Amino acid sequence: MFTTILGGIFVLTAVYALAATSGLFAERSGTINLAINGGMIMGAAGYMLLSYMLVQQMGGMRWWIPIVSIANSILFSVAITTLLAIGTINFRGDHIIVGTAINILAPIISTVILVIVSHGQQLIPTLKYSMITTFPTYSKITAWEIQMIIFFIVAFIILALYLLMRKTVFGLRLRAAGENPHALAAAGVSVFKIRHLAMLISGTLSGLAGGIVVSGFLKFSAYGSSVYGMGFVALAILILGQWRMPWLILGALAFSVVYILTYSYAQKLVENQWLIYVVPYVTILISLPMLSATSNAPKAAGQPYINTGR
Amino acid sequence: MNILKKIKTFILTPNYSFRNVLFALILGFGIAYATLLAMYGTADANFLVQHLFKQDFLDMHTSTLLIRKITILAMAGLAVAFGMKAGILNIGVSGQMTAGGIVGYIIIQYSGWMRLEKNNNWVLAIMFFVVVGTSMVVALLTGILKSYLKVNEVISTIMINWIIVYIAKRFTTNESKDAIEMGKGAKGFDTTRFVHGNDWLITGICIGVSILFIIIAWFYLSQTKFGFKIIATGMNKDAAHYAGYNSKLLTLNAFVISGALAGVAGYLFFFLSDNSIPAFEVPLAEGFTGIAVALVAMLNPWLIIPSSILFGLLEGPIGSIDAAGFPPSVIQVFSGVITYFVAISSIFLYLRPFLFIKDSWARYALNHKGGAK
Repeated sequence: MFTTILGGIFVLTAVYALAATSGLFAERSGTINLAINGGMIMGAAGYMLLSYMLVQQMGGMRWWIPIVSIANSILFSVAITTLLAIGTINFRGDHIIVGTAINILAPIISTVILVIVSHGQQLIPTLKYSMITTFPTYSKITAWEIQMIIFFIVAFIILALYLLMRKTVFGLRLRAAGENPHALAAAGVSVFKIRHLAMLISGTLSGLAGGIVVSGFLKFSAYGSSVYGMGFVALAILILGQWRMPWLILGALAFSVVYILTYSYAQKLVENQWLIYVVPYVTILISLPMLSATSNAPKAAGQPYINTGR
Repeated sequence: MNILKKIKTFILTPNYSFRNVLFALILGFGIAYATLLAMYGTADANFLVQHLFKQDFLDMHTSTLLIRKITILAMAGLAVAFGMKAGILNIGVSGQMTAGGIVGYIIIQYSGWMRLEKNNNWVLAIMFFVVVGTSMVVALLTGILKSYLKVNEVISTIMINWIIVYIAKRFTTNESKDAIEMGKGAKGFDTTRFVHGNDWLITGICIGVSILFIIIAWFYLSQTKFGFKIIATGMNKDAAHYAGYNSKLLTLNAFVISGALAGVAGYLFFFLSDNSIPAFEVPLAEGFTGIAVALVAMLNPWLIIPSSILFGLLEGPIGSIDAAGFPPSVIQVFSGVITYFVAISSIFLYLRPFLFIKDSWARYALNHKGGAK
């Protein structure tokens, strides 16, 4: 029981940290990525699609299938995030509206893919294809240890991204694209290129988050083209973390502790368990106004960069 | 001749947003059709497209259901459009709809009105005010968060959507001892329980209500001082503030009215349509389709009517497509792709087909017939 809770906290922190960092990279470069949820859905769909097909092809589960499938989930998420990037950066669409449209589009694409591949099933059981059930059959490793390993890999990735953002030239340019793109352009750097690269990173991260959700998290017994709004929660964590990476990770940790504890408590209840699920969302809703007074949002986030002014 | 000239200007000048939306619709439809072609081949894709436009109009019952669905989408779209006029994106339409409907159900459950006999129209009349009032309260909460506590409305509405989904689920799952009776069989609320009349009467009420609210929204936005202030706030909040308008109060006002319109949509959805109660795994899809409806209508209350008819047709036949042996979600490809292209319809500013042909012809002529070198 204890290890289940601990493993859940590990993997959920990883998911929220990845998703919130995805939003961070987008907003720091000046694009509001409302489509984190869509990217996660596509990532989850990509994972389910490839693992389902490979299992059909190989006639059974192999140890490498989850790893290859995670790569596919990144591919899917990058594809849909690129739609957002093209719509907002190149064609100057309203960031919020295009993001919402992607969030509408992603579950539909995902459902269609799943329905076609799995011959009419709209819900695919995830536990058959997930890491936490596959790897223990090949070694002595247990489910919560896998979740811990996922957590540390993600922590390593996020540390690398923090260094990329804070200590490299690219990171400086990325932050400049979100604060003052015209200054960046005057320095001779292509704002479009930086913003597209940032969206590429953003899509990769949200796809990774979506893949981990379906492959490492016990709550997901079946995938039906929904990640229960986790991308939006990550966006709220991003705002709570004031667009600062350390605070953001802390927010992800705090939120996943709240979530897992309420979830495991709710499992014991029969009637009111659905009311307990409300607690994490209410927590966010109450804590948002407290921090909104000191908003450190990137100044140029959500504003299109127009090249003709110079 | 004059009309021809007008049409020519319309296609050539990219300043009309209607032109851009039209191109977006055509391109979206084309890409969705191409997707179906790639998935199923020519014959089945054509069958699906034909199915969209001749769906069971002969059957009285299904056509009334389709009309009711269109009125729901129209009201949801009107709610979103009203918000957008004031510069806010009300994603919470689905949550506001659900809140109103569930509170109405709970009141019916606990007041014992379930056991009333037929011909009690007054229950439905009371429910109208209950549903709209609840939705307004939910929208008021979001509005206060937006205008006085500076919380971005996109985040807060999404959080409220999920909160309402779980509360609604608690009152409709069979696990609950005091679950709503109508919820138990996963069967929809029986509208004939209270209304003395047939399908067409209920459909007529739906159409009447939605047209009434479209007129009200149009009148409020374009004929009154408050409407002007709201539009001014939406166009430029700072300018409205300098002009002496209380932009915070106006934003709150717009949110509450948007919530009221969402409440009308919820009333139509939960009390006047034959839908089964949704499973409440995710927020209601109608609220999100409302965004697409509002965008296609270019936020004009009157254009909501054709726009909602379009999306009603695109999303209507989910049930009958299932019977034809296709997965029901396939048909949603159309509305999804179209929504994306309408959202980025400003890209069609760059689409100038005639200019492109003219330029290419000029280049061709230059290269092949000599001319200025």
